[in-house]
Amino acid sequence: MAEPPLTRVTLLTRLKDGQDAAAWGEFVQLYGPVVYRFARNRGLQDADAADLMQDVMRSVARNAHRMEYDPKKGTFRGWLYTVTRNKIYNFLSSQKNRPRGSGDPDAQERLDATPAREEDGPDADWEKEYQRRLSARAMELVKGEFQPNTWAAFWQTAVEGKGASEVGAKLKMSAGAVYVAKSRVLARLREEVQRLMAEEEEQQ
Amino acid sequence: MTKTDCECPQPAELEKLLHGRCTEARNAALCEHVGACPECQKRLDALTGGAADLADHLRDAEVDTPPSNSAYWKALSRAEAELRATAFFANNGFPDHTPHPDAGVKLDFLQPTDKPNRLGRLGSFDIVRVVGRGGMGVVLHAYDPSLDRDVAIKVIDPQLANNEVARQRFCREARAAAAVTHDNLVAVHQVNEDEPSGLPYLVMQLINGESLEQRLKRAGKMTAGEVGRLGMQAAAGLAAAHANRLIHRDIKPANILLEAPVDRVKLTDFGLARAAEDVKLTRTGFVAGSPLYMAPEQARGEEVDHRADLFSLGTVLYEAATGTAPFEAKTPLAVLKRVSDETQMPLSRINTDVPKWLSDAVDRLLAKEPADRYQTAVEVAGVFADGLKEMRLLSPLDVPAEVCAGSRSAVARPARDPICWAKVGCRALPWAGGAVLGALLVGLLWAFAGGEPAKTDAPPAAQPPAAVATDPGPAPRLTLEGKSGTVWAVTFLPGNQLFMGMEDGSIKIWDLKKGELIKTLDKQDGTIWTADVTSDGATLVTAADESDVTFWDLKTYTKAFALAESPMTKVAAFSPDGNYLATGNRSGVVKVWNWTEGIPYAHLRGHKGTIHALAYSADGTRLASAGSQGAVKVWNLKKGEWEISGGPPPSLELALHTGAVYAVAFSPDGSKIASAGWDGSVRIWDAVKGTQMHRIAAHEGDVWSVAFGGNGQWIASAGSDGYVRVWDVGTEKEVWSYRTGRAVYVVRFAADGTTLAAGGRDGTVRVWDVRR
Repeated sequence: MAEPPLTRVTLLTRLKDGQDAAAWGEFVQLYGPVVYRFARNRGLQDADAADLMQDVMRSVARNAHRMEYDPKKGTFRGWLYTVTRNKIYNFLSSQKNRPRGSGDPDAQERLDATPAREEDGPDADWEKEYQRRLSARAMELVKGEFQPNTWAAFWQTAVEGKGASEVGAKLKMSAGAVYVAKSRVLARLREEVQRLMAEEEEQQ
Repeated sequence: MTKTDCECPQPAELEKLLHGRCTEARNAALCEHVGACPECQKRLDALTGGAADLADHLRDAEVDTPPSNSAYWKALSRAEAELRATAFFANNGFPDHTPHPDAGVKLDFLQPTDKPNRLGRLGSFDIVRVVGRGGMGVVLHAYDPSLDRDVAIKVIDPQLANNEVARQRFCREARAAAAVTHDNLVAVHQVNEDEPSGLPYLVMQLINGESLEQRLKRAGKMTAGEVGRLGMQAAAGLAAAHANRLIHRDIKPANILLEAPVDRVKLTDFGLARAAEDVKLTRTGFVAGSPLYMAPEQARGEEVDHRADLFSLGTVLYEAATGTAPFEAKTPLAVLKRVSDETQMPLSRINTDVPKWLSDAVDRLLAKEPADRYQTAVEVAGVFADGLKEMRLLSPLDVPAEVCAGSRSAVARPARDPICWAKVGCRALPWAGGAVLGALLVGLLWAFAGGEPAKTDAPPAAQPPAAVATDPGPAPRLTLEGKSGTVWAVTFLPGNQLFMGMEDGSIKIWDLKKGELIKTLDKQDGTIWTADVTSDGATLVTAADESDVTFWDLKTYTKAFALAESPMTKVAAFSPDGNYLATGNRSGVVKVWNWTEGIPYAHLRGHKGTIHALAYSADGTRLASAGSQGAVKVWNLKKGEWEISGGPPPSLELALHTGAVYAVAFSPDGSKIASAGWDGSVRIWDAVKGTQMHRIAAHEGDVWSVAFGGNGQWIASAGSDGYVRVWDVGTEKEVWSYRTGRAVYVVRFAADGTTLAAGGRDGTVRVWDVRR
């Protein structure tokens, strides 16, 4: 029996469709933390960053039906960056104008705070938060697919940087098994990161 | 190292190793080799792309996770709930509820009203609620006091209203649509302009039902008979419109409504596509909407005639039969290319259940050249009526009027006795009478279809021992076949019945005395994760991935109502007195509801990630919760200083598990708590002091479920390793076990403490009488 052709539907398409509750869940899980971290990096306090995140998410929901994909105008992620940046700017400026403002008066300056390496462009730390979140989200999604030992072998060697034989001794695995376990998790994580990225990017 | 070199696995085998697809023996050998062969380690690194960047990200992410008291967690779960809710009403069709009608839809054009329960006034209409929002504007449920009837009002998007050409065309097309009445068209009563706001609006028949789009999403693809009926009725509706020189131009699942209770097809939004197109063309220089359902000539932006609607009908029927539109692709551009260049796979080749006539008819509708298609909708309705009759799914009396009237002029009709025995009824009766007759006939047809031999579930039989090397354990008394994928939820119901909920949203209720299926409840969307029943046995609660927390009346086995809780609810448990319901969702908040009122009575905060398990103590004063992040928390629910929507801090935290905790249970006397999870252990805790009393290495891999039995002397556990085990709580000794071979996700003891049920990956629930 032949299968009908399967097509990957991008997250953006699913959001625009407007009826896909799961797509909104995925969207919040993936981008909410990016927005929050970014806002924190730009100096917002916990509660303010949390509010701002909610605000940005809401704004996307309101405008979803109007989102058009145009590769010339840049990526969806780029658009979200602009929205976030503007909201942070507005927030910081309102802080500044508040008479009893304990905040710092140089909102724009803080907003434009140069990232670690200037050649990366002003959105480098946004991009970095996004890449980080992609990895973390992929981890959340695939962790359940592995036995605890396999995961521990991966985590302790790849993330904690311990040696394969040291980890193996603790987990009662051979060094080779630890190596293979690590590689297996890594391969799966990469695959998931790819999938998440592909969900975002519409292909020309 | 020549020895190692010659043993090095081929690249393909290394790939297999990486994806865990080697036999166990080969796997062990390869692991050993990799441990000793730096070359192969390098090759593996090359295949996985190495660890550096991912590891950095994960390390950073771990360090940067906000603390549990951060506002971040609340905001994240709120944002998620809010956005998920918006998904319900951005809608072209007519869903039967909207959770937050006023959110996101601007209703500032409405005049104020002094009537309670009304959103406002538009002209002489009282607006009751927002039904949905589509590309063209917002759809409102309204009441027309002058005629004492409920109507649907579509108010045009202000953006469209500002475009003079679009506005004129909209009014013209809408008036043309209002001139046609037919059983398979949503009647347009009038076209008005709202004076204060200047917005044009349509007053239409209010349809009780859902759109085909919603139906396909909810229930999946249709049977050949259903597709046939859909085709026949939609073609009949199109025929009536085409006879009035009205072309739809945007036939798609969202514009085809299925009226309850017999799924009568109602086409809506005639001609409106054209008005929308005017705006979008100028704005984007591209065709309006998705070209998924467009005829090739339409997608190319050429002038179209009524045969474009026939092509679109073909794509809709194709999708209804297969679940996928025939020219689906990743981008509008790619769809355009496929629509123009590719020939679809015939339906009968995708699904052998589709009869040839239906497959051929759809192929002909999908002909690239309009001249190669059927030339009229009347002809199409006739072909479908014939086909249905052949399938014995159509009473001759149910043939639409068009087929009778048009059969004389239709081209290329089969030289067979035309099926117009209904001439008497369908043409002579006045419209209203015809509609009533039509409903009756469809009802008859319904009974017809129901009379066919339905697939019955095979009587549950004891699982044969099959070809297993060793005895799996005590034979189950019953093996209940769910036949709907993995079983995640099992609960015993009063009257010796058992509930099972499965991954495709199916719910089955069994009689445990006879081992028979009693009832299949309405299918839910998404995996059924949890179910619980009140102690009086009157009400059942379920939660599924994409569905509301739903309450069922167990006397009638029907849905009673749903809770305004996010559809991400993973677990729900009634308090022992049945007055409260505790729920846990994927964003870490446990709520205690006064469920009959739908009021959240307490919010218990502190978990991160998904809540997997909840358990009440027998006296109802304490609630234990567990989730993705390690610790079991116990909450004292005796009325405290906290108020509604607040909640007490946890009174105990049991934090020795590594990884997620999937299961938690109170012993019947309330003195102990059992928990289990990712780390493979079952732990028994002193429920008062919070100290660990026992730690049992219960399963290889995850332990998914635990349950107390035998008056609290036993604890049953179920694991990924495929075992169901029963332990003596005092001695930590295994007293009973059974191997299913596939992961087991849920285990429950009945109130008698000896009847044990377990379900999981193999799609069955097994029931045993456990004896020492």
